[in-house]
Amino acid sequence: MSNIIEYINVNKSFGDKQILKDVNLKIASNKIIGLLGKNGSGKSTLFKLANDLLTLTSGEIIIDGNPVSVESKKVVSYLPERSYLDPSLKVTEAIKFFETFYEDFDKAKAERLLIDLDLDPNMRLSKMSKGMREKVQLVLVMSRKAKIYILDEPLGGVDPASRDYILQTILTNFDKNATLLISTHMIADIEEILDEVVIIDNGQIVLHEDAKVLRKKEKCSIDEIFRRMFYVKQTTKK
Amino acid sequence: MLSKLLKNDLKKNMRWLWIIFVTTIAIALLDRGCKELANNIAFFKIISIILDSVFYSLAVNTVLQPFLRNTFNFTKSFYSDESYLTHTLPVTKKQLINSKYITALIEVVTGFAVLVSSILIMYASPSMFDTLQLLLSTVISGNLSIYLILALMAIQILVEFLMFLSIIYFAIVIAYREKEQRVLKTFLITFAMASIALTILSIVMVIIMLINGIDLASDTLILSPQAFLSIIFTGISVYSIVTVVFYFLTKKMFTKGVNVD
Repeated sequence: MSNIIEYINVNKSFGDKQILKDVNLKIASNKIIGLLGKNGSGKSTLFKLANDLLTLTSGEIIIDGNPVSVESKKVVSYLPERSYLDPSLKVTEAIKFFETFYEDFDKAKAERLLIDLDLDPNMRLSKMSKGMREKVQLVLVMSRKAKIYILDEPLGGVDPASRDYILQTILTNFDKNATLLISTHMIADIEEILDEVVIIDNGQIVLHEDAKVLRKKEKCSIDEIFRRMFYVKQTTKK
Repeated sequence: MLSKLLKNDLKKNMRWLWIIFVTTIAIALLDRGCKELANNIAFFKIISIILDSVFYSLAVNTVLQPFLRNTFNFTKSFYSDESYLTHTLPVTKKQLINSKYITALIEVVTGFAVLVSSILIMYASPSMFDTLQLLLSTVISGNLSIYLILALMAIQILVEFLMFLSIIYFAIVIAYREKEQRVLKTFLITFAMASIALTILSIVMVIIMLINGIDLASDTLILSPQAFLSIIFTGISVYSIVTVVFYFLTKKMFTKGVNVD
């Protein structure tokens, strides 16, 4: 199976602090991959490097056969962990913006999703709650027919009642031939949908395994494996 | 894609700027009308005095607001939360930076045009230009058109503004490569670069003055038209060169990549 994303000997430092240490990671196409790790482990840094938000210290990232560039951005639909839309915009204006810049943006799908998520298209983002703004961003990101969807903590600011609905929105709206790379602390919520699991700790990939194989091997859920892994580490440190 | 970015950037800034521009022109027209009527009706004199103060604050803003808004939006688009969208758009870094420069150029030039137009609306009269021409004769010997001088001085101030904007953009790009004390670093780099640019200008000016045989120690300085034109063209050229140099440096540094928080 071909790889849609490849991190090759990737290092990222800020001054003396090394955030990622010689990361080598191959993401196969047409899979749902969960990127798991504690806070500050380097999950967002991995995503930000692939989206040209950070500059590599060394190494290489190949996305759909191209380095991080205009070509790679055409195939990646990225949902960051924060609100990136200009609050003064109306939802309709944000849709217009995406339609202008992304050839693969499906306006009709966006409008349908807005209705599904009970969002008013004529409302200004500044008048919306944080959760509502996150939903708008999710709608925009999922309305692209991208080859890769990178979602950084998509369930973070959403209330528990909406979480399942959001997850369903993600699952039913990404192209089935696409790759979905998702990071979250709410492992239990997403583990059933994952094809592969990548665990990162202290800037290094410590585990990359097929989700089913891993569950079978460890005879427990991924959530449990994650807890054990880091609980043991923390108690060992003490 | 550059045209799309440009449209977006212009729309974003002009949403507020056009209000200042239109109001400045409207107040200038109103004030001029009141001034014309003030000789006969005292009420209009009072209104004119009030409008004068409104006009001055607006006039300053026609130039300052494009400058400040563009600087603010440069940082916001490239380094705040909004940068998560900006940098993930399928456009090159060159297109992003060019869009910001062209937007700034259009808006600062428009601001200047509005300022000059509104001042002309307020004060222009044959007697004003005659007075200015008379004043001019005390510093420039020979026959040089007041219109030409005013136009050249306006261009020099405009280019000077653009130079400072270019230096600030450069400072932001350098300062925001680091993770800490970004605002302080922006100020320090701007101050250092502007000081260097102005020192270079001063040295070049002194050389040009010496070439034109101007006695710098003299108490009364009367320039020949040729000397005046040499000085002002040198000023415009140096500011333009510095602006272009910092534009290329900014573009080079920016295309190397960013580190967004």
